[in-house]
This record gives sequence, structure tokens and C-alpha cells, in this order.
Amino acid sequence: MGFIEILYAETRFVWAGLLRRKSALFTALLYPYILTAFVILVGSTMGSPQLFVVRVGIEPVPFFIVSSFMLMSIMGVVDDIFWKPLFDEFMGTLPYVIASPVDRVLYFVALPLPRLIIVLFIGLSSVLPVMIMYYGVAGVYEAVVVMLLAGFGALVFATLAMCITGALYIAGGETWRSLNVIRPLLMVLLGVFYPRWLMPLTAQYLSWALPPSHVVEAVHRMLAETTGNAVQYFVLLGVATALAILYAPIGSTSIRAWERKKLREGISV
Amino acid sequence: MSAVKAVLKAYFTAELLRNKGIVFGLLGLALWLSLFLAPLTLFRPPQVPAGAIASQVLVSIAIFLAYSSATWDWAWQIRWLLFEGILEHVIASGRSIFILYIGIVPISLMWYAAALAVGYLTISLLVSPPTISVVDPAALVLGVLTLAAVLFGYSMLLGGITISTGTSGPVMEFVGWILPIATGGIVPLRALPEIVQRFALTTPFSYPAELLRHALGLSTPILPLKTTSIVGSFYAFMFLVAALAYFKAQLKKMLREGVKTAWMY
Repeated sequence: MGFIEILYAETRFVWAGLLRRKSALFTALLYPYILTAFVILVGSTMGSPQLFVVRVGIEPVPFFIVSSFMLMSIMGVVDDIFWKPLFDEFMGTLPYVIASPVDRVLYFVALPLPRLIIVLFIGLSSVLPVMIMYYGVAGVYEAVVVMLLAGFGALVFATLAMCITGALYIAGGETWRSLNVIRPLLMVLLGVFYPRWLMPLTAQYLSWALPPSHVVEAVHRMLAETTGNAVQYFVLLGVATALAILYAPIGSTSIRAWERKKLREGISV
Repeated sequence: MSAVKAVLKAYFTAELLRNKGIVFGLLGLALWLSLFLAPLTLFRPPQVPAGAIASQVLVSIAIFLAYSSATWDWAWQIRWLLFEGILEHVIASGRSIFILYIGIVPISLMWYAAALAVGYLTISLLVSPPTISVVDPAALVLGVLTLAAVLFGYSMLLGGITISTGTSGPVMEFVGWILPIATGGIVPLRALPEIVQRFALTTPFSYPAELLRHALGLSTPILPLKTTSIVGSFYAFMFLVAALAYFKAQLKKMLREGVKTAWMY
């Protein structure tokens, strides 16, 4: 089974899932608004939105709606790489998945691509209306760029996610509990809610190792700087791409090692 | 009593000791809190004492964690029983389903206390150690009691919905966020827009939060304190009774129509 066939099958699966699980889709669309309302309401009782503007250089509403969207998009696309083996194990389908002739690495590479549909849905329902409200017609262009960058950020995360998934599942044990610690840690280090340039230096070093954190910074800088600095944006996107390529062989080895382990030791059902 | 002990022991051993759930759970919680608390520091004016802001945040976290316990421990338990195919065995055993809750609630409270301690530490690290002072102990007791009653009723309502529909993950996630925000759990009611204040006061959820904030000297209730106390207590009691009646009706419906299949999400 080639890459195109896997991709086609996954796309049909994701599309059917999205249409069938309307309540889950509805919740996903609402989340950027809920997270934005949560942070801004609590933040406003603690102080003032004007102080936020002085410190970050962006109005809180567009900043948090874009940040929440980036968070939902990146995790929505990549989450299946983290959870899929565990989900298959719970459902009892992992033995069939492992026994199938599909190339495991190709399968994991194909996993995030159809999920970019989620980025489109969430972006159209959250980023686009808010950006138009704040910036008028220019907001449409910014929203499109933000949505494209969110998709790109999710894709460059895929290879690192494969490294983490392979390593975790090889280690075995309480994988879902470990994932529930690793996911918020990654979200903190991505800098979606707290711009990376304001983080302590140690956190910045850790954050630089994550490919999508550079994309998130590019989006934040784009929103903060009215003139923009194209070179700086391209450098950030270049670093993200380079890191994704760097993690690719490790991710591939990691997934193959997990597959070999399953073939050697069998699967508990 | 033996059933209660068995549930308590099974829950404690399986969730907290064998799977090291408490360690992973608290680590995860601290990271989630950091994710949402870090940006809040960007709103803080330098002249306002950090301790006062930290106490507001701690109370918000305390109320949010209480909602989380009701949603993910108490209501989710029904979903878990349904999902694992245990619910029908519990009913067939002839024992009340509420026996499970007598076993689960102490563990849940222990979790709550540990999570609140982690919240305290995270706020202390990111903002400042919260300064807590009780100015009205009676209101504090009433606030805690009415909050417990309202949240148990809320979990039974969610449990009943789960039994009747077979799936509730998105509903729980959505309600678990919206409800504390829209009813003054996260932010003092006085700081919310008037339309939200009106909506919040029509629900039983706003009164306990108003009482708790008043008791800790963090905010004054919108309604007079006496009205807040009387209406809040009566409303909490009626809500609990109605929710229990709804839950029992769903159990009866399930016995007539069979168990719904719960879905993964």
C-alpha cells in the first residue's frame, strides 16, 4: 500500500469522523473562544488589558484567539500520532494494524495530513471573524497567513512527535499518563500563550528545540509588529523546517523500533 | 459498609498506588496551570500587591477544581461504569449505585486537596504566595456546603445525560469550561457584564461562589448577603433533589430500554 492510498484512506476516515462526531467538532470550534474568554476574564480581574498591550504589543483578544487557535490546531493535527497506538490497543485493533502490510513510518507521516481539515474549520470559525473585526480587510490576509502557518507548524511537529511516540511506547508502562504530562509541557514550551521572547532564558533554550515554537513566534511577531520583518520570519520558519528534517531519521528509527518490539513481544489484548 | 470499604480500597490501589496516578496527575495539573497562569501575569499592574491577586487566582482555581472533580470524578464515573460494562452488574447486584460514591468521594477530596496544594505552589512561583484571610467563617461554611450540594447535583445531571445518550465527552468538556466562567466561578460576579450577572443569578452555581468570595474578603456579593445565603441554600437543595430525581428516572429508563453503548469520546 503506497503513501497516496494510505493518505486517501486516512482522509476518508478523518472526514467521516468529523461529520459523525458533530458534538466533538462543535466543541473544537468553540474552544478558541472559551480559552480566550477564560484568560482575558481572569486577566482583567487581575489587572488591565492595556498593560498586556504595553508588554506584548498586541491587543489581548486577537492575541489569545490566534494563540488558542494555534494550540488547538497544532495539537489537533499531531495528537493522533501520540494517541493512535494507545487507541488501537484499547480498541483491540492494534494486532491487525501491526499485522497489516502498511509501512508504519509512511502511516505515521500520513496521519497528520488529513487532520489539517481541522485547522481550516477552527480557523474559519475563530481567527477569521476576530481578525476582520479588529483589522478590517487586512485582517482577512492576516487570518489566511495565520491559518497557513498553523498548518505548517503542525506539520513540522510531526517528526518530533514520532520520536516521542516511539520512545514512549518502547518504554511501555503508563504511556497515557506520561502523555498527559508531556502534552501540557510541550504546550507551555511552544509559547502559544506566553510569547517566547518574554520567557526565562532556560525555557527559551528548551523551546527552541521544538520546531513549531518557531512558527508560533513568527505569528506572534507578525501580529505585534505593524511593519513586519520578512527576513526574521523566514529565518524562524527555516529553523523550524531544519529541525523537522533533523528529527525525521530519529522519528523513523523510533517508530520502527516500536514496531519491532511489538512483533517480538506480541500485543496484550 | 463492606461494599464501601471494597470500593475505597479498589479505587485507592488501582488509581493512586499501582498506576502512580497521583504523581502523573499532579505533574500534569501543575503544567496545565502554568500554561494558563503565565499569561495572566502580563495583565498585572505593578502597584497592586501580588499577594492579593494571587488569592483571587487561588479561589478561582479552587472553584474550577471543584467543578473538575464533579465532572471528571463523579459524573465520569457513570460513564466509565457504562463504558466498561460494569453498570449493569452494579444494578443487578441489588445495591444502590450511590454506594460507589461513598467510596469515591474521600479519594476525590484527597485529590482535590493535593491539586489545590499544587495550585498554591504554582501561583506562589509564578505570581506570589496568596494572602488568605477568613472574614466571615459562617459564610465560608455555607459556601462550601452549598457548593458541594450544587456540584453533586450537577454530576448526577451529567451522569443521567450519559446514561440516556450513551456519550457525553464533548458535553462534559464544554459544560466543564463554560459553566464556571458564566456563573461567576472563575471571576467575581461583580466583574462580569450585567447580562452575564443576570444569567448567573438564575442558576444555583453563582451563589456558593459569591458566598466563598465574600467569606474570604475578596469581593462583595451583588445581592445582599442575607438574600444570597437564603436563596443560595434553598436553590442548592432544590437543585440537588431535582438532579437526583432525574438521575433515578434515567436509571429506570435504562432498565426498561437497555444499556446504551458508550463511545470512545
